[in-house]
Amino acid sequence: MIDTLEKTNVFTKSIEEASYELWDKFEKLRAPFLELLNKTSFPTTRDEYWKYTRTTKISKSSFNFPKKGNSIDVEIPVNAYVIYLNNGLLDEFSVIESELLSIKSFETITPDQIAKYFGHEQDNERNIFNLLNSAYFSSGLFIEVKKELDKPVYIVNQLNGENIFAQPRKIIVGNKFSKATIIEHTVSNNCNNVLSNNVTEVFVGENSNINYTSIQNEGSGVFHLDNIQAHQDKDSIFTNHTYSFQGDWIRNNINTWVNGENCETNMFGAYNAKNKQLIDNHTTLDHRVANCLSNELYKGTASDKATVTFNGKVFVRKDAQKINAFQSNNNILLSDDATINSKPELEIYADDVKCSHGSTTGQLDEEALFYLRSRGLSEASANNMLVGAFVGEVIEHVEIPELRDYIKSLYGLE
Amino acid sequence: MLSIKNLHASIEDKEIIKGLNLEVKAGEVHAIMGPNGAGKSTLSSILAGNEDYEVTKGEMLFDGKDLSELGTEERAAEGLFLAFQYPVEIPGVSNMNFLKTAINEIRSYRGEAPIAAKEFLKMVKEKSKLVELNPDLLKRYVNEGFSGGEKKRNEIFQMAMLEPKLAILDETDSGLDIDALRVVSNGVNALKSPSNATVVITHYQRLLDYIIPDFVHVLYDGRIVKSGTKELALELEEKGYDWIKEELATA
Ligand SMILES: Nc1ncnc2c1ncn2[C@@H]1O[C@H](COP(=O)(O)OP(=O)(O)O)[C@@H](O)[C@H]1O
Repeated sequence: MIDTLEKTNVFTKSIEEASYELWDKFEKLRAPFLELLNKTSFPTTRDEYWKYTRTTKISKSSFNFPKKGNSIDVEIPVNAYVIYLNNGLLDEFSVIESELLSIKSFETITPDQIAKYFGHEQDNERNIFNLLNSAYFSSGLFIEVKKELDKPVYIVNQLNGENIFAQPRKIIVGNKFSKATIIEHTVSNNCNNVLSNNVTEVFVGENSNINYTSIQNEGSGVFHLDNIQAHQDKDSIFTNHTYSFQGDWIRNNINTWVNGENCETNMFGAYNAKNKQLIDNHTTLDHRVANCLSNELYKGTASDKATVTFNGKVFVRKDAQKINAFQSNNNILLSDDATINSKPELEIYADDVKCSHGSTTGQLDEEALFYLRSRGLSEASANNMLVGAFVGEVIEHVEIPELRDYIKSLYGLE
Repeated sequence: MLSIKNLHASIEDKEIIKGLNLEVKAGEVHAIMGPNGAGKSTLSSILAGNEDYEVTKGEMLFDGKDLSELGTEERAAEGLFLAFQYPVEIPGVSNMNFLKTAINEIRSYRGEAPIAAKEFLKMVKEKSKLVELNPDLLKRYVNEGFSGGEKKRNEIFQMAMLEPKLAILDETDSGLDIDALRVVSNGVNALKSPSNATVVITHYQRLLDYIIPDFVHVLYDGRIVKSGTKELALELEEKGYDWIKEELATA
């Protein structure tokens, strides 16, 4: 058992006792992040970026280096290249290498191959969880999309056990004119104090189109963080979908840097937070150059004693003219004891731009509820139907029909 | 089937229904007419269980059951149906899914098994034909982007699907052209049987040329002040409501 994360030095020492072969192999890449980690402390709610989400429960916990647990049955709704992660470790993995796609584990590559990608540009100063992963990743996948894929890549992220520290690292590179959808589907079983700290770095090359969809369908007992860093070259499209279900602590940090002109960026997310769930989505989009489009839509509900946070930051830099940036976050508050914090932020330094942002928090439409009930629907199912319709607007943007239907079914939609 | 005795109801402490009596038996068609603001829509909302209104006095029995003890959905399951004057649009909820859920929840209330998919589709086909409702509309979201006439047809279509014992049609004729009026009325007439009943709320006689009432009631200032047969409707059409007000004043 390693000591609490909070005491980073102790943590470092004891985790090194685990002497994980990958860490030795990638020592040079890890070193600068390890050094930074040792100088960084966990955030408090006084830090703007963590204002509504405490990390104390994580920083005061102790975790073990992961071992694989039992595998969990997961329905995979699409024909796909399937990869299994179990407690942050690759499970029965074999290299995929074709003219369309290459997927390799960190065991099967040299550090040189990923040197220019690993930790390329991250918001490490405000997000210690990137550093934790860079210093102590538990597995690594290097995915190179060479052309337009014939089917999506489906990563099943299984969590299972107690006091586990699961930190998968993914590097996704979209070559020129390539196209792919990469789905990550998290599930859990009997978890207690499991930290699932994912870092995914996406390099969206010229004229490529990469879609990264995260289905967060774990149960309780998991601290789930998706830290996504996307870097777009000119003429590319990056789309991110994040669907959160019943996990009791979910924090998503999604950053996109648009470095080339004529890019399109889409960010979609939906959540129905219940009980004492905490679901926090922080997105940052940086328009650094001109002639780009971005579109962001996050919708969801909070009931019982749940807490939902949305913070969407959009920068339009000084020379980034002719940017169209749309952002919207709509919430429905279903109980007086639930909390919704919604903060869209636009920072615009260019003058010829079209930007809009909006945030709404409302109630269910009483008139619609009455109408449904007058036809025989119970209050609960009328509620569900309206909530489903509300988040359904986001899910409509999922392009693959089978995946769209599957995500709808997870929300109890038809 | 429906027995309303000395009903008083108010909204925000303003009394709107002021001692209303009405008896509806199986097989009957009743028309309730009256000037604007008389309380016609309020009455239908109260019957359907709209909680914005507070029943302060009197009783409403439906097949012997006290309606005020039943929630809106329980009233529907017991066989009460309200065709709304202004059907609400519900984006994101598909007509078909909504209807199927409604039917199954009503069935479950009655201790019946869910409807088979095939049977449901057959019924949809049959009943949409009855009200000449374009089946493509059913693939859309509930009432979203429907014209006024389509919304009213959809109400009668839902009524046909749910097969209620008592249907209350609230100003179903408003906003309908003559063709739509005919179609909607044909639908209502086709659904008539000795075991169910219809209450038609309207302030024009026009609809009653198509749906022939057994009884006509005048609702004025929260009460039924006059009842008669279909001739009363013609008289109202001809003379307006002032003579009734005068009759009341002199009484
Ligand atoms: N929500 C409300 N708040 C206050 N007064 C209302 C409300 N709804 C109806 N009323 C009043 O109740 C009376 C009856 O209205 P309504 O039932 O719509 O009449 P009708 O359908 O016969 O035209 C009117 O005086 C109207 O102003």
